[in-house]
Amino acid sequence: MIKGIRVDHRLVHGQVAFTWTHFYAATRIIVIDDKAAGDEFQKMALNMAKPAGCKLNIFTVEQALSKMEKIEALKDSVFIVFGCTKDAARFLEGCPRFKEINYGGIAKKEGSKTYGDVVYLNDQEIADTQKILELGISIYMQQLPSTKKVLLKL
Amino acid sequence: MGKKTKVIVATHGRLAEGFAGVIKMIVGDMEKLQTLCCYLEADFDLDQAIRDIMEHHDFGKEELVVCTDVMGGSVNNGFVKWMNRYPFHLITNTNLAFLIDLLLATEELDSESIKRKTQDPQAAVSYVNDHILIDDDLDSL
Repeated sequence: MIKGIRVDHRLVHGQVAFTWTHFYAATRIIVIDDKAAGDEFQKMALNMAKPAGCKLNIFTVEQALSKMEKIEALKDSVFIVFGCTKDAARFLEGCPRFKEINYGGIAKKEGSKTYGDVVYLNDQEIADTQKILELGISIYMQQLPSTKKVLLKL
Repeated sequence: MGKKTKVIVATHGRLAEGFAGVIKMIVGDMEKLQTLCCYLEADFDLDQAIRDIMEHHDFGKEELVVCTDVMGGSVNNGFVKWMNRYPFHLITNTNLAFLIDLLLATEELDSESIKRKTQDPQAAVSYVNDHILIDDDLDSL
């Protein structure tokens, strides 16, 4: 069962590996990120960062979409993490059956606008976000289970 | 309902506050965590600070776990002196991984389960370069 989906540019890091994984009682983290999935060294590094007792997959958007049936049939509690809005939007267009997605961290960059404490969107990311919202999926910003959930509006 | 746990991180200087700040960033607010930053003032009295902690703790209601910074350091030495008077758990060489594991525990903690956490290789000081050489065990589904 898929317990949560999140965009986080840091992929598997402290908040994800310790806190969200614990909160969802996740037994499998699936990173969906074209860049990471094509980088053997980054894959190794992510594997090192995964929490004990938790499985990890790192897929491209295309791989993830082709495996969705399998993923949804798993007995695992699954936590999906996207590295960027572009891959999240592409995945959700192919698999729009989610009610909501957490924007947990999108880095500040030149020309980006502030949407939350740790959510900054540039034009491309705003367009991706628009696509996600048009699918009827709500977007909320929440760093940690214990912090406030804030709806993202463009 | 099991016994709850209170965790006190006690260190030289502001390290304890540093731990607490990072834990707030990674895990969120943790009610059961307290800090004791020692020797910030010239007249700091460790024995008195420990006495205050022990006398105000209800050992019948809550387990008390004290995590100090370094074996042989004065803060840890200070707590050792109280071990025959109060039934608290004393941990030293505390690190962030151990603290997070301890704070996120949902089961009732006792000396055995706390001891197991101190022995968890995930929380040990580690030479990361050697992990680079290990083949990953990613499964592809």
